[in-house]
Amino acid sequence: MELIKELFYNSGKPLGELYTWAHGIWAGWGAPPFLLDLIFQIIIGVAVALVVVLNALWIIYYDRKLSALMQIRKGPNRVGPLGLLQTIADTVKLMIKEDINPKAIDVLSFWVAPLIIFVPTFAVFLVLPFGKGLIPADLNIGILYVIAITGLTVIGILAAGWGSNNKYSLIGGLRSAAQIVSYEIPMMLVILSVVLLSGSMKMSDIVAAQANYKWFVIPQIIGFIVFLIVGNAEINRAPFDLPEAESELVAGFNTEYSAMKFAFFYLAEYTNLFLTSAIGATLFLGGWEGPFLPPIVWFFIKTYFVVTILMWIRWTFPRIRVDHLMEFSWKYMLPIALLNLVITAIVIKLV
Amino acid sequence: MVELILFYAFAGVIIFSAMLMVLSRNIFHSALFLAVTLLGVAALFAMMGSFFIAGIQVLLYIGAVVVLTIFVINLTKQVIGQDAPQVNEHVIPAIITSLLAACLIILAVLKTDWGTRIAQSVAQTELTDNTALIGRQLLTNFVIPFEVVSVLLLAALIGAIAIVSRDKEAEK
Repeated sequence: MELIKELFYNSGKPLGELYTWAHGIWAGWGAPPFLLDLIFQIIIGVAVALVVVLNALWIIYYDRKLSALMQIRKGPNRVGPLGLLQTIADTVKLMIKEDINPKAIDVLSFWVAPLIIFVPTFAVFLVLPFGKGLIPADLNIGILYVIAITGLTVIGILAAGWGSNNKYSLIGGLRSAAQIVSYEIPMMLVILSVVLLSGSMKMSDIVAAQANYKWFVIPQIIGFIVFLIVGNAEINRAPFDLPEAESELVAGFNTEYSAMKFAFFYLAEYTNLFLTSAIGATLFLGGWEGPFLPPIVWFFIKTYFVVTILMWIRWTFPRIRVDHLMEFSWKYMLPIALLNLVITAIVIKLV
Repeated sequence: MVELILFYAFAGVIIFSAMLMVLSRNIFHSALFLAVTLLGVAALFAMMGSFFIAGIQVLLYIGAVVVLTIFVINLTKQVIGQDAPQVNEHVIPAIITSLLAACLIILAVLKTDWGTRIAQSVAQTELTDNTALIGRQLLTNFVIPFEVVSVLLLAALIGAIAIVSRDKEAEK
Protein backbone atom coordinates (compact mmCIF):
# COMPACT_ATOMS: atom_id res chain seq x y z
CA MET A 1 0.00 0.00 0.00
CA GLU A 2 2.78 2.36 1.03
CA LEU A 3 4.66 1.45 -2.13
CA ILE A 4 1.69 2.18 -4.38
CA LYS A 5 1.19 5.54 -2.68
CA GLU A 6 4.87 6.34 -3.14
CA LEU A 7 4.71 5.21 -6.77
CA PHE A 8 1.95 7.68 -7.51
CA TYR A 9 2.99 10.64 -5.40
CA ASN A 10 6.78 10.48 -5.53
CA SER A 11 7.49 8.34 -8.57
CA GLY A 12 11.19 9.18 -8.77
CA LYS A 13 12.15 7.39 -5.53
CA PRO A 14 10.64 3.90 -6.03
CA LEU A 15 11.63 3.94 -9.71
CA GLY A 16 15.18 4.85 -8.74
CA GLU A 17 15.20 2.01 -6.19
CA LEU A 18 13.91 -0.39 -8.84
CA TYR A 19 16.71 0.79 -11.14
CA THR A 20 19.49 0.22 -8.59
CA TRP A 21 17.94 -3.14 -7.56
CA ALA A 22 17.80 -4.33 -11.18
CA HIS A 23 21.37 -3.19 -11.72
CA GLY A 24 22.50 -5.16 -8.66
CA ILE A 25 20.96 -8.37 -9.99
CA TRP A 26 22.28 -7.64 -13.47
CA ALA A 27 25.83 -7.17 -12.13
CA GLY A 28 25.46 -10.52 -10.33
CA TRP A 29 24.98 -12.17 -13.74
CA GLY A 30 28.12 -10.48 -14.99
CA ALA A 31 26.37 -8.78 -17.93
CA PRO A 32 27.52 -5.35 -19.13
CA PRO A 33 25.46 -2.60 -17.41
CA PHE A 34 24.80 -0.58 -20.58
CA LEU A 35 22.64 -3.42 -21.93
CA LEU A 36 20.29 -3.08 -18.96
CA ASP A 37 20.21 0.70 -19.49
CA LEU A 38 19.32 0.04 -23.11
CA ILE A 39 16.49 -2.28 -22.05
CA PHE A 40 15.19 0.35 -19.62
CA GLN A 41 15.36 3.00 -22.33
CA ILE A 42 13.45 0.80 -24.74
CA ILE A 43 10.75 0.19 -22.09
CA ILE A 44 10.48 3.96 -21.47
CA GLY A 45 10.32 4.58 -25.23
CA VAL A 46 7.50 2.06 -25.67
CA ALA A 47 5.63 3.56 -22.71
CA VAL A 48 5.91 7.05 -24.22
CA ALA A 49 4.77 5.73 -27.60
CA LEU A 50 1.72 4.21 -25.90
CA VAL A 51 0.96 7.55 -24.23
CA VAL A 52 1.27 9.30 -27.60
CA VAL A 53 -1.08 6.95 -29.42
CA LEU A 54 -3.71 6.59 -26.69
CA ASN A 55 -3.66 10.32 -26.03
CA ALA A 56 -4.10 11.09 -29.73
CA LEU A 57 -7.11 8.76 -29.91
CA TRP A 58 -8.76 10.55 -27.00
CA ILE A 59 -7.76 14.10 -27.95
CA ILE A 60 -9.23 13.77 -31.46
CA TYR A 61 -12.51 12.54 -29.98
CA TYR A 62 -12.41 15.39 -27.45
CA ASP A 63 -11.77 17.95 -30.21
CA ARG A 64 -14.71 16.68 -32.25
CA LYS A 65 -17.06 16.55 -29.27
CA LEU A 66 -16.06 20.03 -28.10
CA SER A 67 -16.48 21.51 -31.57
CA ALA A 68 -19.91 19.86 -31.78
CA LEU A 69 -20.85 21.42 -28.45
CA MET A 70 -19.80 24.86 -29.69
CA GLN A 71 -21.64 24.51 -32.99
CA ILE A 72 -24.76 22.98 -31.36
CA ARG A 73 -24.30 19.63 -33.10
CA LYS A 74 -24.05 16.14 -31.63
CA GLY A 75 -20.63 15.16 -32.91
CA PRO A 76 -19.59 11.49 -33.15
CA ASN A 77 -22.34 9.41 -31.48
CA ARG A 78 -22.74 6.19 -33.49
CA VAL A 79 -19.68 4.00 -32.90
CA GLY A 80 -19.68 2.74 -29.33
CA PRO A 81 -21.23 4.49 -26.32
CA LEU A 82 -21.27 8.28 -26.91
CA GLY A 83 -19.24 7.66 -30.07
CA LEU A 84 -16.18 6.85 -27.98
CA LEU A 85 -14.94 4.24 -30.44
CA GLN A 86 -15.19 6.59 -33.42
CA THR A 87 -11.48 7.46 -33.48
CA ILE A 88 -10.48 3.80 -33.23
CA ALA A 89 -12.71 3.04 -36.22
CA ASP A 90 -11.11 5.93 -38.13
CA THR A 91 -7.64 4.71 -37.26
CA VAL A 92 -8.41 1.20 -38.48
CA LYS A 93 -9.85 2.69 -41.65
CA LEU A 94 -6.68 4.72 -42.25
CA MET A 95 -4.52 1.64 -41.66
CA ILE A 96 -6.29 -0.62 -44.15
CA LYS A 97 -6.74 2.02 -46.86
CA GLU A 98 -4.75 1.88 -50.06
CA ASP A 99 -1.52 3.86 -49.91
CA ILE A 100 -1.66 5.98 -53.05
CA ASN A 101 1.62 7.34 -54.41
CA PRO A 102 1.12 9.79 -57.27
CA LYS A 103 3.31 9.22 -60.31
CA ALA A 104 5.09 12.59 -60.43
CA ILE A 105 6.26 12.76 -56.80
CA ASP A 106 9.82 13.07 -55.63
CA VAL A 107 10.04 9.68 -53.94
CA LEU A 108 12.60 10.41 -51.21
CA SER A 109 11.00 13.65 -49.97
CA PHE A 110 7.48 12.25 -50.24
CA TRP A 111 8.28 9.17 -48.17
CA VAL A 112 10.52 10.76 -45.61
CA ALA A 113 8.30 13.81 -44.87
CA PRO A 114 5.78 12.09 -42.52
CA LEU A 115 8.71 10.67 -40.55
CA ILE A 116 10.51 14.01 -40.26
CA ILE A 117 7.30 15.52 -38.94
CA PHE A 118 6.48 12.73 -36.51
CA VAL A 119 9.88 11.79 -35.04
CA PRO A 120 10.72 15.23 -33.49
CA THR A 121 7.21 15.38 -32.03
CA PHE A 122 7.83 12.03 -30.40
CA ALA A 123 11.34 13.04 -29.28
CA VAL A 124 10.07 16.07 -27.34
CA PHE A 125 8.47 13.68 -24.81
CA LEU A 126 12.02 12.97 -23.63
CA VAL A 127 12.05 16.05 -21.39
CA LEU A 128 8.37 16.26 -20.41
CA PRO A 129 7.95 16.10 -16.59
CA PHE A 130 4.86 13.92 -16.10
CA GLY A 131 5.23 13.86 -12.33
CA LYS A 132 7.64 14.07 -9.45
CA GLY A 133 10.74 12.33 -10.79
CA LEU A 134 8.68 10.96 -13.66
CA ILE A 135 10.67 12.43 -16.52
CA PRO A 136 12.33 10.25 -19.18
CA ALA A 137 15.54 12.34 -19.20
CA ASP A 138 16.07 15.51 -17.18
CA LEU A 139 18.42 17.24 -19.61
CA ASN A 140 20.36 20.32 -18.58
CA ILE A 141 19.10 22.21 -21.60
CA GLY A 142 15.48 20.96 -21.20
CA ILE A 143 13.45 23.74 -22.76
CA LEU A 144 16.13 24.62 -25.33
CA TYR A 145 15.97 20.99 -26.46
CA VAL A 146 12.22 21.36 -26.95
CA ILE A 147 12.65 24.50 -29.08
CA ALA A 148 15.47 22.97 -31.13
CA ILE A 149 13.72 19.67 -31.80
CA THR A 150 10.32 21.14 -32.69
CA GLY A 151 12.10 23.37 -35.23
CA LEU A 152 12.89 20.24 -37.22
CA THR A 153 9.26 19.63 -38.19
CA VAL A 154 9.42 22.56 -40.62
CA ILE A 155 11.76 20.54 -42.82
CA GLY A 156 9.19 17.74 -42.94
CA ILE A 157 6.42 20.12 -43.94
CA LEU A 158 8.58 21.68 -46.66
CA ALA A 159 9.61 18.23 -47.89
CA ALA A 160 5.96 17.16 -48.04
CA GLY A 161 5.03 20.30 -49.94
CA TRP A 162 7.85 20.02 -52.42
CA GLY A 163 7.86 16.25 -52.83
CA SER A 164 4.15 16.09 -53.69
CA ASN A 165 4.77 18.06 -56.88
CA ASN A 166 1.44 19.82 -56.50
CA LYS A 167 0.90 23.57 -56.46
CA TYR A 168 -1.43 23.47 -53.44
CA SER A 169 1.03 21.36 -51.47
CA LEU A 170 3.91 23.66 -52.38
CA ILE A 171 2.07 26.82 -51.33
CA GLY A 172 0.92 25.12 -48.13
CA GLY A 173 4.47 24.03 -47.32
CA LEU A 174 5.90 27.49 -47.96
CA ARG A 175 3.23 29.20 -45.91
CA SER A 176 3.76 26.79 -43.06
CA ALA A 177 7.52 27.25 -43.03
CA ALA A 178 7.27 31.05 -43.10
CA GLN A 179 4.65 30.96 -40.36
CA ILE A 180 6.50 28.60 -38.02
CA VAL A 181 9.84 30.38 -38.46
CA SER A 182 8.36 33.81 -37.71
CA TYR A 183 6.22 32.68 -34.79
CA GLU A 184 9.12 30.79 -33.27
CA ILE A 185 10.85 34.06 -32.32
CA PRO A 186 8.15 35.46 -29.97
CA MET A 187 7.81 31.92 -28.60
CA MET A 188 11.51 31.82 -27.73
CA LEU A 189 11.37 35.29 -26.12
CA VAL A 190 8.43 34.24 -23.94
CA ILE A 191 10.20 31.04 -22.92
CA LEU A 192 13.32 33.09 -22.20
CA SER A 193 11.34 35.23 -19.74
CA VAL A 194 10.31 32.06 -17.91
CA VAL A 195 13.91 30.84 -17.92
CA LEU A 196 14.95 34.19 -16.46
CA LEU A 197 12.46 33.74 -13.63
CA SER A 198 13.42 30.14 -12.86
CA GLY A 199 17.16 30.60 -13.47
CA SER A 200 17.46 27.27 -15.26
CA MET A 201 16.51 25.57 -18.50
CA LYS A 202 16.08 22.20 -16.79
CA MET A 203 12.42 21.16 -16.78
CA SER A 204 12.53 19.85 -13.20
CA ASP A 205 14.10 23.13 -12.02
CA ILE A 206 11.42 25.16 -13.78
CA VAL A 207 8.74 23.13 -11.97
CA ALA A 208 10.65 23.39 -8.69
CA ALA A 209 10.92 27.19 -9.07
CA GLN A 210 7.11 27.35 -9.07
CA ALA A 211 6.73 25.29 -5.88
CA ASN A 212 4.20 26.38 -3.23
CA TYR A 213 1.82 27.67 -5.92
CA LYS A 214 4.02 30.54 -7.06
CA TRP A 215 3.02 29.77 -10.62
CA PHE A 216 4.62 31.80 -13.36
CA VAL A 217 1.24 32.54 -14.87
CA ILE A 218 0.82 35.42 -12.40
CA PRO A 219 4.05 37.38 -13.04
CA GLN A 220 4.03 36.25 -16.67
CA ILE A 221 0.36 36.71 -17.56
CA ILE A 222 1.28 38.59 -20.74
CA GLY A 223 3.81 35.89 -21.54
CA PHE A 224 1.17 33.19 -21.05
CA ILE A 225 -1.28 34.90 -23.40
CA VAL A 226 1.44 35.39 -26.04
CA PHE A 227 2.43 31.75 -25.53
CA LEU A 228 -1.13 30.57 -26.19
CA ILE A 229 -1.47 32.64 -29.38
CA VAL A 230 1.96 31.81 -30.73
CA GLY A 231 1.67 28.16 -29.73
CA ASN A 232 -1.57 27.94 -31.65
CA ALA A 233 0.18 29.39 -34.71
CA GLU A 234 3.12 27.02 -34.39
CA ILE A 235 0.94 23.93 -34.53
CA ASN A 236 -0.92 25.23 -37.59
CA ARG A 237 -4.38 25.29 -36.06
CA ALA A 238 -7.14 27.77 -36.71
CA PRO A 239 -7.18 30.77 -36.78
CA PHE A 240 -3.62 30.23 -38.04
CA ASP A 241 -4.27 27.16 -40.21
CA LEU A 242 -3.20 28.93 -43.41
CA PRO A 243 -0.93 26.02 -44.44
CA GLU A 244 -3.98 23.80 -44.86
CA ALA A 245 -6.67 26.36 -45.56
CA GLU A 246 -9.32 24.16 -47.18
CA SER A 247 -11.07 26.94 -49.05
CA GLU A 248 -7.94 27.96 -50.93
CA LEU A 249 -5.45 25.08 -50.82
CA VAL A 250 -7.57 21.85 -50.79
CA ALA A 251 -5.64 20.46 -47.78
CA GLY A 252 -2.31 22.25 -48.00
CA PHE A 253 0.92 20.35 -47.71
CA ASN A 254 -0.76 16.98 -47.13
CA THR A 255 -3.09 17.09 -50.15
CA GLU A 256 -1.45 14.15 -51.91
CA TYR A 257 -1.09 11.97 -48.84
CA SER A 258 -3.31 9.04 -48.03
CA ALA A 259 -3.63 6.06 -45.67
CA MET A 260 -0.87 5.59 -43.07
CA LYS A 261 1.25 8.50 -44.31
CA PHE A 262 -1.70 10.83 -43.82
CA ALA A 263 -2.31 9.24 -40.43
CA PHE A 264 1.20 10.26 -39.40
CA PHE A 265 0.45 13.91 -40.20
CA TYR A 266 -2.79 13.70 -38.29
CA LEU A 267 -1.15 12.02 -35.32
CA ALA A 268 1.67 14.58 -35.30
CA GLU A 269 -0.82 17.47 -35.42
CA TYR A 270 -2.77 16.32 -32.39
CA THR A 271 0.35 15.23 -30.50
CA ASN A 272 1.76 18.69 -31.13
CA LEU A 273 -1.41 20.19 -29.67
CA PHE A 274 -0.91 18.06 -26.56
CA LEU A 275 2.80 18.91 -26.38
CA THR A 276 2.30 22.66 -26.67
CA SER A 277 -0.30 22.48 -23.91
CA ALA A 278 1.92 20.30 -21.74
CA ILE A 279 4.83 22.70 -22.11
CA GLY A 280 2.52 25.63 -21.38
CA ALA A 281 1.27 23.86 -18.26
CA THR A 282 4.83 23.12 -17.15
CA LEU A 283 6.17 26.60 -17.80
CA PHE A 284 3.27 28.67 -16.52
CA LEU A 285 0.90 26.54 -14.44
CA GLY A 286 3.33 24.86 -12.08
CA GLY A 287 3.70 21.57 -13.95
CA TRP A 288 2.60 18.54 -11.94
CA GLU A 289 2.13 20.44 -8.68
CA GLY A 290 -1.27 20.29 -7.00
CA PRO A 291 -3.08 19.22 -3.83
CA PHE A 292 -4.46 15.73 -2.94
CA LEU A 293 -4.37 14.11 -6.36
CA PRO A 294 -1.19 12.39 -7.65
CA PRO A 295 1.17 14.66 -9.65
CA ILE A 296 0.58 12.79 -12.91
CA VAL A 297 -3.17 13.43 -12.66
CA TRP A 298 -2.53 17.12 -12.07
CA PHE A 299 -0.19 17.17 -15.04
CA PHE A 300 -2.92 15.85 -17.30
CA ILE A 301 -5.60 18.11 -15.77
CA LYS A 302 -3.50 21.23 -16.39
CA THR A 303 -2.48 20.08 -19.85
CA TYR A 304 -6.08 19.44 -20.81
CA PHE A 305 -7.05 22.82 -19.39
CA VAL A 306 -4.65 24.44 -21.89
CA VAL A 307 -5.82 22.05 -24.62
CA THR A 308 -9.39 23.20 -24.00
CA ILE A 309 -8.38 26.86 -24.28
CA LEU A 310 -6.59 26.17 -27.57
CA MET A 311 -9.62 24.25 -28.93
CA TRP A 312 -11.92 27.02 -27.79
CA ILE A 313 -9.81 29.53 -29.76
CA ARG A 314 -9.77 27.20 -32.73
CA TRP A 315 -13.52 26.72 -32.99
CA THR A 316 -14.57 30.33 -32.33
CA PHE A 317 -12.27 32.46 -34.48
CA PRO A 318 -12.35 32.67 -38.28
CA ARG A 319 -9.15 32.09 -40.20
CA ILE A 320 -6.76 35.05 -40.26
CA ARG A 321 -6.01 36.54 -43.70
CA VAL A 322 -2.68 35.51 -45.19
CA ASP A 323 -1.26 39.05 -45.47
CA HIS A 324 -2.21 39.75 -41.84
CA LEU A 325 -0.44 36.63 -40.64
CA MET A 326 3.15 37.89 -40.86
CA GLU A 327 2.16 41.38 -39.71
CA PHE A 328 0.54 39.94 -36.61
CA SER A 329 3.72 38.11 -35.65
CA TRP A 330 6.29 40.78 -36.45
CA LYS A 331 4.38 43.93 -35.50
CA TYR A 332 2.41 42.75 -32.46
CA MET A 333 3.62 39.47 -30.98
CA LEU A 334 7.35 40.17 -31.26
CA PRO A 335 7.32 43.65 -29.63
CA ILE A 336 5.02 42.46 -26.84
CA ALA A 337 7.22 39.44 -26.14
CA LEU A 338 10.37 41.57 -26.26
CA LEU A 339 8.90 44.16 -23.90
CA ASN A 340 7.78 41.38 -21.57
CA LEU A 341 11.32 40.02 -21.52
CA VAL A 342 12.89 43.41 -20.80
CA ILE A 343 10.40 44.18 -18.02
CA THR A 344 10.96 40.72 -16.50
CA ALA A 345 14.73 41.28 -16.53
CA ILE A 346 14.42 44.74 -14.93
CA VAL A 347 12.03 43.50 -12.23
CA ILE A 348 14.30 40.56 -11.39
CA LYS A 349 17.26 42.92 -11.13
CA LEU A 350 15.39 45.35 -8.87
CA VAL A 351 13.67 42.87 -6.54
CA MET B 1 33.47 0.91 -25.49
CA VAL B 2 29.84 1.88 -26.08
CA GLU B 3 30.92 5.46 -26.61
CA LEU B 4 33.47 4.37 -29.19
CA ILE B 5 30.86 2.39 -31.14
CA LEU B 6 28.43 5.31 -30.96
CA PHE B 7 31.15 7.72 -32.07
CA TYR B 8 31.99 5.62 -35.12
CA ALA B 9 28.29 5.23 -35.93
CA PHE B 10 27.71 8.99 -35.83
CA ALA B 11 30.95 9.72 -37.67
CA GLY B 12 29.89 7.24 -40.35
CA VAL B 13 26.50 8.91 -40.65
CA ILE B 14 28.14 12.35 -40.93
CA ILE B 15 30.63 11.33 -43.60
CA PHE B 16 28.14 9.25 -45.58
CA SER B 17 25.43 11.92 -45.62
CA ALA B 18 27.98 14.64 -46.42
CA MET B 19 29.11 12.60 -49.41
CA LEU B 20 25.51 12.05 -50.47
CA MET B 21 24.91 15.77 -50.13
CA VAL B 22 27.75 16.58 -52.52
CA LEU B 23 27.08 13.74 -54.94
CA SER B 24 23.29 13.90 -55.09
CA ARG B 25 22.04 15.30 -58.39
CA ASN B 26 18.83 16.61 -56.85
CA ILE B 27 19.34 19.88 -54.99
CA PHE B 28 16.43 19.25 -52.61
CA HIS B 29 17.91 15.90 -51.59
CA SER B 30 21.22 17.66 -51.01
CA ALA B 31 19.52 19.99 -48.55
CA LEU B 32 17.94 17.04 -46.71
CA PHE B 33 21.31 15.27 -46.46
CA LEU B 34 22.86 18.50 -45.19
CA ALA B 35 20.31 18.44 -42.36
CA VAL B 36 21.31 14.84 -41.54
CA THR B 37 25.00 15.80 -41.51
CA LEU B 38 24.40 18.72 -39.14
CA LEU B 39 22.26 16.52 -36.90
CA GLY B 40 25.14 14.05 -36.70
CA VAL B 41 27.51 16.84 -35.67
CA ALA B 42 25.01 17.88 -32.99
CA ALA B 43 24.98 14.27 -31.76
CA LEU B 44 28.79 14.37 -31.46
CA PHE B 45 28.55 17.58 -29.42
CA ALA B 46 25.99 15.93 -27.16
CA MET B 47 28.29 12.92 -26.71
CA MET B 48 31.02 15.27 -25.50
CA GLY B 49 28.63 16.63 -22.87
CA SER B 50 28.16 20.00 -24.59
CA PHE B 51 24.38 19.82 -24.65
CA PHE B 52 24.02 23.56 -25.06
CA ILE B 53 26.19 23.65 -28.18
CA ALA B 54 24.31 20.62 -29.52
CA GLY B 55 20.98 22.34 -28.96
CA ILE B 56 22.17 25.56 -30.59
CA GLN B 57 23.58 23.55 -33.49
CA VAL B 58 20.19 21.98 -34.15
CA LEU B 59 18.30 25.23 -33.56
CA LEU B 60 20.44 27.48 -35.76
CA TYR B 61 21.94 25.25 -38.39
CA ILE B 62 18.99 22.97 -39.05
CA GLY B 63 16.11 25.09 -37.76
CA ALA B 64 17.28 28.22 -39.52
CA VAL B 65 19.99 27.68 -42.15
CA VAL B 66 18.70 24.45 -43.72
CA VAL B 67 15.09 25.63 -43.51
CA LEU B 68 15.99 28.85 -45.33
CA THR B 69 17.95 26.86 -47.92
CA ILE B 70 14.97 24.59 -48.55
CA PHE B 71 12.70 27.62 -48.64
CA VAL B 72 14.82 29.18 -51.38
CA ILE B 73 14.90 25.89 -53.29
CA ASN B 74 11.11 25.76 -53.10
CA LEU B 75 10.90 29.25 -54.57
CA THR B 76 13.05 28.39 -57.59
CA LYS B 77 11.39 27.10 -60.69
CA GLN B 78 13.22 23.80 -60.74
CA VAL B 79 10.80 21.02 -61.64
CA ILE B 80 10.84 17.68 -59.86
CA GLY B 81 12.67 15.00 -61.80
CA GLN B 82 14.93 17.47 -63.53
CA ASP B 83 18.39 16.83 -62.13
CA ALA B 84 20.99 19.51 -62.40
CA PRO B 85 24.61 18.35 -62.27
CA GLN B 86 26.32 19.64 -59.15
CA VAL B 87 29.90 19.61 -60.47
CA ASN B 88 31.44 22.27 -62.64
CA GLU B 89 34.52 22.37 -64.82
CA HIS B 90 37.03 23.64 -62.27
CA VAL B 91 38.51 20.29 -61.33
CA ILE B 92 42.13 21.32 -60.74
CA PRO B 93 41.42 24.34 -58.47
CA ALA B 94 38.96 22.17 -56.57
CA ILE B 95 41.58 19.47 -56.01
CA ILE B 96 44.14 22.04 -54.83
CA THR B 97 41.69 23.66 -52.38
CA SER B 98 40.56 20.31 -50.99
CA LEU B 99 44.15 19.14 -50.54
CA LEU B 100 45.08 22.35 -48.75
CA ALA B 101 42.05 22.08 -46.48
CA ALA B 102 42.87 18.43 -45.74
CA CYS B 103 46.49 19.37 -44.91
CA LEU B 104 45.26 22.08 -42.55
CA ILE B 105 42.93 19.69 -40.71
CA ILE B 106 45.56 16.93 -40.47
CA LEU B 107 48.14 19.40 -39.18
CA ALA B 108 45.70 20.71 -36.59
CA VAL B 109 44.90 17.16 -35.44
CA LEU B 110 48.57 16.20 -35.19
CA LYS B 111 49.68 19.37 -33.42
CA THR B 112 47.08 19.22 -30.68
CA ASP B 113 48.11 17.73 -27.34
CA TRP B 114 45.04 15.53 -26.95
CA GLY B 115 45.86 14.12 -23.50
CA THR B 116 45.77 17.42 -21.61
CA ARG B 117 42.94 18.75 -23.77
CA ILE B 118 40.66 15.84 -22.96
CA ALA B 119 41.55 16.01 -19.27
CA GLN B 120 40.73 19.74 -19.26
CA SER B 121 37.41 19.38 -21.01
CA VAL B 122 36.33 16.44 -18.84
CA ALA B 123 37.15 18.47 -15.74
CA GLN B 124 35.20 21.41 -17.11
CA THR B 125 32.07 19.55 -18.13
CA GLU B 126 31.88 17.69 -14.84
CA LEU B 127 32.34 20.93 -12.92
CA THR B 128 28.95 22.48 -13.65
CA ASP B 129 26.29 22.61 -16.32
CA ASN B 130 28.04 24.37 -19.13
CA THR B 131 25.14 26.65 -20.10
CA ALA B 132 25.82 28.91 -17.13
CA LEU B 133 29.55 28.60 -17.82
CA ILE B 134 29.15 29.72 -21.43
CA GLY B 135 26.92 32.62 -20.39
CA ARG B 136 29.39 33.80 -17.77
CA GLN B 137 32.33 33.54 -20.17
CA LEU B 138 30.44 35.44 -22.89
CA LEU B 139 29.73 38.37 -20.59
CA THR B 140 33.16 38.53 -18.92
CA ASN B 141 36.19 37.26 -20.84
CA PHE B 142 34.64 37.38 -24.31
CA VAL B 143 32.42 40.42 -23.99
CA ILE B 144 34.13 42.36 -26.81
CA PRO B 145 33.80 39.64 -29.47
CA PHE B 146 30.23 39.09 -28.28
CA GLU B 147 29.37 42.76 -28.76
CA VAL B 148 31.16 42.88 -32.11
CA VAL B 149 29.06 39.95 -33.34
CA SER B 150 25.86 41.62 -32.18
CA VAL B 151 26.81 44.86 -33.97
CA LEU B 152 27.49 42.80 -37.11
CA LEU B 153 24.06 41.17 -36.84
CA LEU B 154 22.44 44.56 -36.33
CA ALA B 155 24.20 45.87 -39.44
CA ALA B 156 22.95 42.87 -41.41
CA LEU B 157 19.40 43.48 -40.17
CA ILE B 158 19.49 47.16 -41.13
CA GLY B 159 20.96 46.20 -44.51
CA ALA B 160 18.14 43.74 -45.16
CA ILE B 161 15.52 46.34 -44.25
CA ALA B 162 17.25 48.93 -46.48
CA ILE B 163 17.28 46.55 -49.47
CA VAL B 164 13.61 45.65 -49.02
CA SER B 165 12.44 49.25 -48.63
CA ARG B 166 14.44 50.33 -51.71
CA ASP B 167 12.48 47.83 -53.82
CA LYS B 168 9.24 49.20 -52.45
CA GLU B 169 10.15 52.73 -53.43
CA ALA B 170 11.06 51.59 -56.93
CA GLU B 171 7.60 50.02 -57.29
CA LYS B 172 5.95 53.33 -56.53
